[in-house]
Amino acid sequence: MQKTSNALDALNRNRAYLILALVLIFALFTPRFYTMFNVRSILSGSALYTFLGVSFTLCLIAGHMDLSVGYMATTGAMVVLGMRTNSGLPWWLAILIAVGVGAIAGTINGLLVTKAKIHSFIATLGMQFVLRGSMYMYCNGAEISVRGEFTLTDAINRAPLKFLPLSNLFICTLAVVIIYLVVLRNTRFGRNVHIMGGNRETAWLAGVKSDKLTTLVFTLSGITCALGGALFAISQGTATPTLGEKGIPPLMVALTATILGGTSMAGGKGNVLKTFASILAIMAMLSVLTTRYGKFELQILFMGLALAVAVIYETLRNYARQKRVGIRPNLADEYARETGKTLHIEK
Amino acid sequence: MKRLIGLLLVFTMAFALVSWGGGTVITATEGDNLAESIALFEEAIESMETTDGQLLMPAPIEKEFPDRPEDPDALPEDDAGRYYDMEYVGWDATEKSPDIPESPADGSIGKRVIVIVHGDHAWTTAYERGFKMAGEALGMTIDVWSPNWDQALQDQLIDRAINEEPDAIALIPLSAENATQQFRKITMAGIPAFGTNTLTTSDAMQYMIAWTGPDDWAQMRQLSEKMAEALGGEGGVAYITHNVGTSPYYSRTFGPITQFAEHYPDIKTLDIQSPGFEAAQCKQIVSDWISRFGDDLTGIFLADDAPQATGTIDAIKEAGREDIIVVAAGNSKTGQDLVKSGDIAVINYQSAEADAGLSARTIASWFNGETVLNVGYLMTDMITEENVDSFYPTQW
Repeated sequence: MQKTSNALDALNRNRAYLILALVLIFALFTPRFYTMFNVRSILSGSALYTFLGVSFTLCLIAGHMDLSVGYMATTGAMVVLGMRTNSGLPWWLAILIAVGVGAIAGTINGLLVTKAKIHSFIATLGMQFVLRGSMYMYCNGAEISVRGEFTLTDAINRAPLKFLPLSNLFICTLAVVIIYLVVLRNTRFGRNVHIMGGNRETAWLAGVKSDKLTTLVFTLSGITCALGGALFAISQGTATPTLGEKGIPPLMVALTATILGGTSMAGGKGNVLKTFASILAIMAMLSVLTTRYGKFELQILFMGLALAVAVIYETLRNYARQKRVGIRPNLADEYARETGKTLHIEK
Repeated sequence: MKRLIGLLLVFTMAFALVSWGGGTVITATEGDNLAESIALFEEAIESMETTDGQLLMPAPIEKEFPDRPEDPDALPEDDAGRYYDMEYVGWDATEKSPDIPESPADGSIGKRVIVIVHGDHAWTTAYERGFKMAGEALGMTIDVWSPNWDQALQDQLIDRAINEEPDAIALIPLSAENATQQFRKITMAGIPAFGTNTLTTSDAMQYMIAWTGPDDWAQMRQLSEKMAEALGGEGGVAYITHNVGTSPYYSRTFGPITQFAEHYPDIKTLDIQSPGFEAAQCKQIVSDWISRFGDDLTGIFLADDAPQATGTIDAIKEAGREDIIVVAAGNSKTGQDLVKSGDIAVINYQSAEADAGLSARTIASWFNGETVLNVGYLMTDMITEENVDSFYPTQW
């Protein structure tokens, strides 16, 4: 019984990889899925969502929600092309300004949460609308393109190794995932983010400066999203202020992938690699759906269902866990210490 | 880190294992069926009709274009020359990208064309119907895909379409700015690209074999002439625009403004608003205009003859200002009914089915090895209370 339970736990913990594997097997029966062009499209298409996904995961681990990730990326996209095409700045400076704008917006989010004591859900929702309105005003509601200057666009979309479907954009994305993975696992900053998200009281007792750390988390989220948006815009050669408004909002992909990847909605637990695997699974599944059925409505339906299933599952698990160990699971550890008996708790 | 490497390995191995034959490849019909295609073409363009009894695949119209002003951006907002690069987009783009494929000149029969439209709408349904009717008559298989007005989804569909390696891709770009990269991508993949319905920027023209669609600028100028006639050559006009930044935004706002400025200087622009396509929003704006401008408001120019028109007419009737002359771009049943009831003075005839038919005709001509126009316009007409009955039943 215990073995079965452990196996199920292991499967659940690694569900992101399982879902990815299942989708890849399902894709075997989809015509022209495993072509060099298609795999490269899927991987490159996952870039923006990965930047948003890791940002969202970081915030959620820290115990907060950043609903502005989508518009933060749109801002990065609009600013980088605006600075390049409209203002004529060199690419490096345009990217730097876009990332700087993301950093400022992220820091404001952090300050609203820590200093103004506004719940992150409300603060970032507000920021979402501020950024949306600002971008509409900045570009007069219209798109900005590279106006025929495709040198950097071609470079970022190029695959350095011809036999592998990995574009430079996807390699940049991998680098970001690895950086986040290492930072969250192997640095004091990462450990503090986990402690703070898991239990604010414990974090305080451990001397973690929660306000400073929270602001830093939001700033990093802003930087990452703006950088993702900027790279995405360069790869597309255009930026639109209405990205995802009529189809699948990037926020929804990031949110779904984060929850599917096993990041706890209560904070303190999460893994950017699993978020990344979930994004790959979602992108592969969307490609399968478009290939087999051709209708965008199915993509939206699939995203909605995936999110709903993940959230319902998480909620039920949390409910079951709380029912078993009470709302203070740390008491289970005390119980184990005092009695020498282990209370089986899902972590 | 181990998991990351594992993840990459799984993906790469799966890719490597099956990339040798992951599905069926749809290819063009082989063999020389050119003569049969040409015969079919000649018969179809003469016989096929739209559901409202007009020609489904009319001949493309070529128009004269003036010399380009030295610096269009330096001209005032109500000078037609300022919009030269939009109105005459592509007419001077004779130099095509070296990646543009040569016509196979082996006939249209058996060819597969993927049509990527802009989004779901009653107009799009009629357009899709027109493309499929024309495609069937010309021996081509037509697949129509819609991204529901979403730029990211349209980009995704373009990747999907390239991956399927059809014989041609026709595209209604969602954004003129983004169109260059979209057409470039298709062309660089070695697939013939055709623009349809919505104009792009001049940059994009080099990456497509041909563009076909309505001459929105010319139609708006004709509509303006009709409006000026109804206004007696003077008055104050307010504008409700199309989506800001799109090609119809410019043609349906600055087409009439520049036409009035040049030929009817006593017709003044009172205001320009972009509330979108919701009747309630348009009604609110028109009510505000009536209060704000009073009797100075004598005409309203709409970029759409359906929700924008219903909202506008509601506001006018509620205010008892039926003297305001309303003209609208579009050709929907709502618009035609409002013309018939006398609420709208004029709308322009713009056949969705023939728009698609013209694109299908151009693509088939190219497969048949014929030279096609760089830009081919769709025939047009004005619908007034006098002739509205001859345009029923409406296409959408």
